[in-house]
Amino acid sequence: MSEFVTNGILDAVQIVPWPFANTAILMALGFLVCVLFLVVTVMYLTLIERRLLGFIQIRLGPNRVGPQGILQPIADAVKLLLKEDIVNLNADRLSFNLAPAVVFMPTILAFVVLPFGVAALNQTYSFIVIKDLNVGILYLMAVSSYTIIGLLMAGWGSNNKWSLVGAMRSAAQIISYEVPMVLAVLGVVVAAGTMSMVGIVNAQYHVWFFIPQILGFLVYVITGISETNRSPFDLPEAESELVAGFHTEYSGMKWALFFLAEYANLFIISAIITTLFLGGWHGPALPGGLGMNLLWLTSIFWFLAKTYAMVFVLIWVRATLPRFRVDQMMSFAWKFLLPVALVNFFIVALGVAYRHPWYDGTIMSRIASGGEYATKIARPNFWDVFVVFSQLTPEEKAFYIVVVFLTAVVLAVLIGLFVRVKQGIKPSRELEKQWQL
Amino acid sequence: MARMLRHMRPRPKDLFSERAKYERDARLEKRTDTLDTEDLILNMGPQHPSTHGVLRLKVKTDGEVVKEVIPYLGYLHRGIEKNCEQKEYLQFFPIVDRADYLSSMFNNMICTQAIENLMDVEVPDRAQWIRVAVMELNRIASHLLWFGTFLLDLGALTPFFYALRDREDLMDILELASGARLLYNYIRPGGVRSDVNPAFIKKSHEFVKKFPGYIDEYEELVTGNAIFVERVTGVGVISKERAVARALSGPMLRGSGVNWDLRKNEPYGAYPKFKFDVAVEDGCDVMARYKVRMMEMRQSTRIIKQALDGLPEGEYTAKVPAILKPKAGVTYARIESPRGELGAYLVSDGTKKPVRFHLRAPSFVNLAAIDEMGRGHMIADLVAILGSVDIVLGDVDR
Amino acid sequence: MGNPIAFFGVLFFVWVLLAYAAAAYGHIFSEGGVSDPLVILLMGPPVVVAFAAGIWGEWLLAKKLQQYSIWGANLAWYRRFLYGSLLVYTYLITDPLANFHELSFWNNVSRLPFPLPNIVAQAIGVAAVVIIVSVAWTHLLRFFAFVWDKVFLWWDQAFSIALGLKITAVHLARPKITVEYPEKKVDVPTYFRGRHELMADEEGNMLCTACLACERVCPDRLIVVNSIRNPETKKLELVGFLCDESRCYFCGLCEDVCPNGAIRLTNVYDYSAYERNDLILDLYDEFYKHTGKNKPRGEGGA
Repeated sequence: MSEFVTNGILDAVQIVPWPFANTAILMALGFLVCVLFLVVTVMYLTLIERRLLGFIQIRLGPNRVGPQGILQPIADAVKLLLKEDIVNLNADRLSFNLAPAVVFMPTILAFVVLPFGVAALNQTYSFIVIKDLNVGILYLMAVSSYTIIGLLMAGWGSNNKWSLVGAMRSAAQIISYEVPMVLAVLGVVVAAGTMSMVGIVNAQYHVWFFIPQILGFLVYVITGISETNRSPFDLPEAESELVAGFHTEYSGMKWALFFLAEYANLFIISAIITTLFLGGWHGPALPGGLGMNLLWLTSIFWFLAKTYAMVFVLIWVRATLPRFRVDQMMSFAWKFLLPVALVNFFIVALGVAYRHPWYDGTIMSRIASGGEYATKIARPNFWDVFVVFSQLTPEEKAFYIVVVFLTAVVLAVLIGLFVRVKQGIKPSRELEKQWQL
Repeated sequence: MARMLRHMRPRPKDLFSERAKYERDARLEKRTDTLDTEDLILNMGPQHPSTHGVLRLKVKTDGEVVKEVIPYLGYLHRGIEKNCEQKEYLQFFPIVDRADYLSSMFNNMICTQAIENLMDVEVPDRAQWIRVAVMELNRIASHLLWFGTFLLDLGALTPFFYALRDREDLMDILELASGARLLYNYIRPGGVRSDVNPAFIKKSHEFVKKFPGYIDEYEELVTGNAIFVERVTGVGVISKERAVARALSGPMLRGSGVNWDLRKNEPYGAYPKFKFDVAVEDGCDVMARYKVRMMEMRQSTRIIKQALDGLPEGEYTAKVPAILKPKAGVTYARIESPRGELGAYLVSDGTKKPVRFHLRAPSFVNLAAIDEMGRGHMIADLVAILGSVDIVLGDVDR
Repeated sequence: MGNPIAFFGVLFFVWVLLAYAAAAYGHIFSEGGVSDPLVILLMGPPVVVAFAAGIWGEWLLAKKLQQYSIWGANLAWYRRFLYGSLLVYTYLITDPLANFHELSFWNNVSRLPFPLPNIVAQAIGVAAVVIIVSVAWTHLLRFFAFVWDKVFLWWDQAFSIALGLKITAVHLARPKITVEYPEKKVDVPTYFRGRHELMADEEGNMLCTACLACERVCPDRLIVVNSIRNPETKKLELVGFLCDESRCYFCGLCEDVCPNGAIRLTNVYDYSAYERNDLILDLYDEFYKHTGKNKPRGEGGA
C-alpha cells in the first residue's frame, strides 16, 4: 500500500527533526490522550447508561451528585477505591488477582486501531488513528479473544463452584458467538478488499456497508452484544437465582475493573460497528461548511455521533429484552446466526465476483493509484454507484438485478415491519366491543 | 388446496403425549453413553436476588437438569395465627393484613366472611359493592407487582417500572378510600370502615379509562416477545388431573384448564350481580398462567367499572357492637384472592377472642407443586416457574 | 398413493427403464446403435435408480439414528435431510446430462455426430423433477407448509422484538414519575394514617376525656394514658399520653374507637429519629406546646 492510505497521524506531524524521537514522543502523547479519553468515556458511559435506562423506565437516573449527576462516576470511583479488597482464603491468588487485568487489557489494546477521523495536513490526508495496522480487523478479533482467558481465570481463581460454572458458560457463549462474528466481518473484509480499519472506512465512501450487507450488520450487532455479556445475553453474569457469575467474589477496585471493562467493551463494539458498517467518519459536511482545515473536527464528530447512536441502541435493547437461557443462546448462535452470516458472505462473494458496485473489492487499489478517487474519500457521492450499470457483462447485469430484487424485498420487509409496529396490537379494543364497556 | 391449507393451521405444542413424556424423562435419567456424574445439591438460599421473599429451595440437580426441589419454609413465620388467638376479633384484623401483604383487602375480607358467618348481620348493599370494588382494585395491584417481578426474574428490567407506575396510581386510589397504601384494615364485619368519597370515585374512573391502554402496552412489550415466549412455553407443566390432585387454586389451576373460580362457583358478597368472565387457558405451562393473570387484570377492570357505575346509595356499614362476640361455632370461609383460594377456619366459643383461627394460605399450597413442575427442567427455568406460582412469603409462612 | 400424477410418474419410470434396457443391449440386435431420442431418455434411469437407492439408504439411517439418541428420534431432521437431498439429486440428474456427450462409459453414445443442445438435457431434468414431485407429493406439501410456518415464525419474532423496542422508545418521551423528594412532595390526603396527634376542639381545649378506649383497643397495647380524677368535677382528666410509634401498625383502630375524635392519625409520614426511644411520642406534651390557633383541630364523635 502506498503511504497515502496508511499514513497515521504519527507520520504526518513533526515535532523535532529527529526521526525516532518524533515517533516516540508522539506515541507517548497519543497513548496518554487515548487512555485519558478511554477512562473519561467509560466513566461517563456508566452515567449515560444509568440515566438513559432511567428515562426509558420513566424515572430520573442519578441526578443528585453534581448538576444532572455529572459527578456520580467520580463518587462511584472514590467509593470503589476505598472499599475493602476481599480475597478468599482458598483462592488461587495468581489467577484471582490477575484476572481483572487480563479482562480489561483487550479493550485498551483494541483502541489502537480505531480510526477516529481524517485530517487534511500538508496536502495529504492523514488518518487519526494510533497505528493503522494493515491487519487491523484481524488484530481486533485476536485481541478480543483474550477476554475469555481472563474470565476463566476469574472463575477458577474464585474457588467457588458457581463462579466456575458461570465463567465456563460465559466462555462457551463468547466462543460460540465469535464464529458468526468473524463470518460477518469476513463479508466486510472481502467487500473492502483490505483488513486495515482505515481501508475499510475508505471503502465505504460510496455506500456504507450496512446497506449491501444488512444481514451481516444484523449478525454483527447481535454478536457484539453477546461478546460484551450484555442483556439479552447476560445469563452468565446476572443469574437472578444463582450468584453473579464469574465476578461474584470480587470487591472494590477489582470488581470496578470488570465493570469498566464491560462499559469499555460497549464503547469499543459500537466503535467497531461504526467503522465496519456505518461508514466510520463519513458524513455530510457540517452545516456552515467548516472546510478542509477543520476536516478533523467534522470527521471526529461524525464518528463519535454514530458511535454514541449505536451505544444508545445497545442500551435501548438492554432495557427492553428479557434474558436468554443458556441452551437457547447457543442454539440461536449456531442455528440462526451462523447460517445467516454464511448467506451474507455468499452474497458478498457473488457481488465481488460479478463486480457489483456495492461489493466492489477494488476500491483500495483505485485509491492507491490516485486520480479522482483520491479526492472522494472525504466527500462521498452515493449516486456514482448507479453509473457503472451499462459497463457490466450479462451475468453481472443479472446479479445486479438480483441485488435490486433482494433490496426491494428487504425494504418491503422493513417498511412492513415499521408500519405494523406503529399500528401495534390493541387487544382492549376488541375486548371492549365484546363486553360493551 | 384445502389439504394444503390444512397443513398450515397452528398446532398446539405437544406436552402430554408419550413422545413428550419420553423426552422429558430422558432428560431426567442418567444416560449410559456419557460419563458418570453425581447429583449436585444447590441451595437457592433465603436471600434471593429476586423479590419473592425469604424462601430457601434445596435443588438436587444432575448437571443442569433439576431432579428434585425441596422448599424450606419458615423464614418469615411471625406466629399470626397464635397471635390472633390472644386478641379480640377487631384487633387481629391489622395482623392478618400482613399475612398476604400484597392483597391485604382479601385478608380483611376473609376474616370478615368468617366472622359474619357466625354473626347475624345484614351487610348493606353499598358496603358490599364497595367491598367488591376495593378487592378488585387490590387484585389488579397484586397482579401488577407479580408481572413486574416475574419479568425482572427473567431479565427484563423495564416492565417492572411500568407496572409500579400503575400500582402507584392504585395505591393512591386505595389510600383515598381507606387511608393507607398497602395494609388497609378497611373491610370490617358489618361493612367497611368508612365511606368512599368523590375523590376516590373520580380517580377510579380515570384509572379504569386508562388502564386497558397500559395492559395493551404490557402485552405488546412482553407477551409476544420471542425471547419471552421461548423462555416460558413448555416450562413448568402440570396437567389438569395433577393440578386438582395437588389442590392448587387460582391462576395455577385455571392455567391448567380447570374452570374454577370461587367468585363464580361459590359466589359471595355482591359478585353474582357483576358480569365478568373467568380466564381459563389450556396450556398448563408458565405462559398459560401468565395469560390467565393478564386476562384477570382486564376482567377486574371490567368489574370495577360496573361497581363504580352502579354503586347503590345507603349505609356503608351495618350496626355492629364495638366488641364483636360471634356465636359459638366453627366455620370455614373461602374467597378468591389473587393467589388462589384464601380460606379462614374460625372456631369461636362466643367470647370476644377466638379459640382458633387458621388461614388456608393459597401460596403455601401452590408452592408444594414446584417439585412436580420443576423436575426435568434447567435451573434457569426454575426461576420462571417460581415466578409463575406467584408466592408471597407472608402468605406461605404467616 | 391413490394419486393419478403418481401413477403416471411410475408408468413413465417403467417406460424409461425399458428404454434403457433396449438401448444398452440393443446394439446386439442392430448395427449402429438405437435412435438418438431414445438414447437421450436412457440416461435417466441409472441416476433415478441411484436416487431411489439413496432415499432408501437414508430411511435406514434414520431408523438407526432413532435408536441411538434423542436427535434421531425427531423425524423432522430426517425429513429436512431428505428434502435437501431431493434438491441435490435433481441437480445431479440435470447437470451430467447437460454434458453427457462427453461421457465415455457408453461407447455407442460418445461418438455422436452432433453436440446435443442444452434444452434437451433440461427437458430430461424436468422429467426427473416430475417423477420426484409425483412420488413425493404429500411430503413436499408438508415441507412447504413447514417453510411457510418458519417464515411466519421469523416474521412474528422480529415483529415482537421491534414492537417491544417501540414501547420502550415511546416511554422516553413520557413525563417521568419520580418526585424529587425533599424538594417536591406528594400530596397526601388528610385522612392518611400517619403520625398520631391529640386534637383540640374549637376553643382549643383538650378533647380527650381519658376514657381509655384507645388503650384497650390497641392490638399491641402501645398507648399509655395517664389520668387523674378531678376531685371537683369527678371526671377523669388527662395527665399524660404516650404512644409508641416504633411498633405501631397504623391500623387506625384507636381513631375509630375514640368517642370524641381526640386521637387522630394525621398525614405526617416523614418523621424519623436516630434512636428508638425518640419514637415513643409524648402526645400530651406536644399538645400543650401548640398555642391557641396552632392546636390541631378535630371534630367530636367517631
